[in-house]
Amino acid sequence: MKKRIISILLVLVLVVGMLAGCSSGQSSEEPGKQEEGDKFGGTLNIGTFADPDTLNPLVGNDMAGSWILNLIYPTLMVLDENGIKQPYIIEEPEISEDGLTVTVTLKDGFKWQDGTPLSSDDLIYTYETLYEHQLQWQYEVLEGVEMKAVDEKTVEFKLSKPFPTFITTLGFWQRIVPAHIWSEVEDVKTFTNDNPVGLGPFKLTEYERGQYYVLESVEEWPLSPEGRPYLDKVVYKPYPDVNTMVLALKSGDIDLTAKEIPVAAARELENEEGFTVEQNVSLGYEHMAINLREPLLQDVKVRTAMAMAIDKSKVIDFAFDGDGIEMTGIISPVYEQFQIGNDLPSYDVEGAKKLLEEAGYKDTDNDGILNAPNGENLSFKVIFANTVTEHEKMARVLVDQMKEIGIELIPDPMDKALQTDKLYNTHEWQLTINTWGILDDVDSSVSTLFYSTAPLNWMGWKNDVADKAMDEMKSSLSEEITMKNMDIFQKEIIADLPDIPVFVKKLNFAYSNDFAGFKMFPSNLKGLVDPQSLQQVYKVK
Amino acid sequence: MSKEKRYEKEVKAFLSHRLGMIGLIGVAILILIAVFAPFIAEPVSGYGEYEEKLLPPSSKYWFGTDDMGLDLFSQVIWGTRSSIRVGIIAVFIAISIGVPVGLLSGYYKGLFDTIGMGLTEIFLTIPMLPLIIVTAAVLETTSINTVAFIIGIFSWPSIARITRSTALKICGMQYLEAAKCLGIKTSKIIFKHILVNASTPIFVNLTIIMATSIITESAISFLGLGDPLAHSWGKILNNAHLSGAFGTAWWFSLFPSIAIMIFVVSFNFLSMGIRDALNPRISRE
Repeated sequence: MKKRIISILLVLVLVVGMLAGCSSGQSSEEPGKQEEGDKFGGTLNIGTFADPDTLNPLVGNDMAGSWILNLIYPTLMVLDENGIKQPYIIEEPEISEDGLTVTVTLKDGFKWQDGTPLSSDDLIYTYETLYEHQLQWQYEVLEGVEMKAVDEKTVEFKLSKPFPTFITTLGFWQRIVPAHIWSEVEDVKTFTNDNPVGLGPFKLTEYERGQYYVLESVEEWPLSPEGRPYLDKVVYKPYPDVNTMVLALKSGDIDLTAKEIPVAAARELENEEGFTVEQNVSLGYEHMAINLREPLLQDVKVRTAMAMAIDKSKVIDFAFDGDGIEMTGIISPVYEQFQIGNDLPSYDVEGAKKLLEEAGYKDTDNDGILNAPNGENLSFKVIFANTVTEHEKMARVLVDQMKEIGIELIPDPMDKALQTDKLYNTHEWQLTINTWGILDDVDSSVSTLFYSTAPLNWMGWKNDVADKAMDEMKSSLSEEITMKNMDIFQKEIIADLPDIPVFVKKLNFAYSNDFAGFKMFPSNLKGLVDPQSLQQVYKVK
Repeated sequence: MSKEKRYEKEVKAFLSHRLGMIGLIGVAILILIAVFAPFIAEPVSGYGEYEEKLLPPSSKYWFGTDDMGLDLFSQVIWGTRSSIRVGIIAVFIAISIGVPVGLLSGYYKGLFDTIGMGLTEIFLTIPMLPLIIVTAAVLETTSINTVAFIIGIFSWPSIARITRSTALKICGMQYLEAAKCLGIKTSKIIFKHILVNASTPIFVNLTIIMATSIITESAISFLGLGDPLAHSWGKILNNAHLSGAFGTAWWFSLFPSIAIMIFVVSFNFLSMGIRDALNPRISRE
């Protein structure tokens, strides 16, 4: 009897505790400090999916880290809402007529958070350190580049050959660090940067790994509409599971999701009062890459038949709940100027079957799978990261679609790190489903993926004509030459098909209507948490 | 007491054990479903119609549909097959490792005992799930059989311990020494005396392994390490979780969960029934 009473009491305590927990979530609104009509004040809680790998902006390259570091350390250039790169802390860069001299001038009024003014020394220090230690991938951009400080605010870069997207690439991707602090650091590669001194609308004041990252607004930020951010604080909270993150948004624990949310959750939140769901488009795309080292996959007819067997609209419907745009060529439809009619083979099951039959593939052993002339089954393993939902679903759809033309696909989900190892190092794979992340400056970025010696070209594609076209595109100073070579490149890659592009994701982000003033930037790297958005977000009173 | 009489009494004790009978009926139904799955529901694969995604239960789709537009009733029915298959493979592996290890340790003792029990001890203290996750990642191919194999590899220690303790107990008895003196073959002693005596506790343990294996299988599939094309209950739950419709499409996660519950409870009840019926002290009460 005693036991029963105790257990009833325990249950009561639990229930009361749960109720208290629920209600505190909703009533956590702080009373505004300012008078009505005034936008200042408030804390914005943002859901992220992981802790940053590191707070060192020279080596950090992960998305969760970028969301925080972008608020603390500035880049020279940023994306605008249309995905075009614009100067951020610099004036419009000047490029000489021969394309070999690039001059950038810092805007006035920027100070590091310890009061030291931002100067050309900081730029030079950052880029020199980057190149000296070969950090990230951006150092490659600095190959053969000489730089000097013309004055306190101006830096001049001398390039060895024309590279029109030099400053947009370097300026967009590389965050600047303060030379007066970092020159004291012993080893910049391993420096953990626990107490960052940055330059941006917010400063990191307190954090606990796995728990929270508190960023307080700075006193002065010239790029905010009223000279400083409206919000008092921005707090990032990691939720490794996206379903939990959505629940946290609903219960009021967070006000915004930095990471995109599943389509089903987005539809649900749209119908609920108090939340806004906004959508943007990824700057990369989802694709199925082919390992050209595999004998059976070296036959371009097999690759073409596979491309013809994919019903992209069905893939989008089931893998991504219809929230996607079909890839028609090798360049994402987001970049309209490069849609020049070099289309992928269109969906045609009968045509694909015929193509394979003509090439001599027959089901000689009656197991429903075509056999190559040497008797081998057209059966391929497709590897993908087991944490990426849409890739698993995409694999399930593709298994069915390939079965239609007599090709067997065996899905093989694995740890992301293992997949990366296979792609980059061991080359032990046949097909892979993957995402090309952000493809900015398409005319130069295609060569980072498809150039015969590019590290990302794990397909092993080698085409001299395409290589030459990519080289010329990269250093082209006229639009005519760019477009001519783009056409050559597209024709070659579509004829060879080392990679089958499938779709561009539309991404959903949600926020509580207690806040307003958000601006949406392309891709999930920027989304609603780009500094240009958060520097002007305010709490609705 | 004669042998027949003892069996009669044990069967009677089992038949009057209410939970045990419920378990037996549950297990029987599950086995029937697994065997006759092709007659109960059409197997589904790939994807269905876009308009039929995430439909709630209806007369057409008794358990509703999933986010690929596929019938969940069919998946749960066919999932029974995978579950029983996983259980049987795991049990088979557990016996084929656990029994020899237990016999060697208990009968020959000495170095065998030290090594055998050392291994058992190690496997018992290693946290099972993280290790299974690592093994699944290393093995690369993740068919339902691999998953079952991995579970079996980690379920044998309890069997080894039980076999060993029975062997130790019997080896200490006088009649066994007499048998040894009479020159009866070791193999006969092991099979006729030790194994027969150990069979009851082993059997009780196997039903428990059946139950835990399906929970482990669900956990592995739920973590995305299972076979993406298999229809196992854990995989359905994993799909429900990944779909992002966990909150709205309740049927997606409810039915596989109920199936797992029925499976685990049935086997646990069955093991309780057998244990009580074979335990003279309890069956007499």
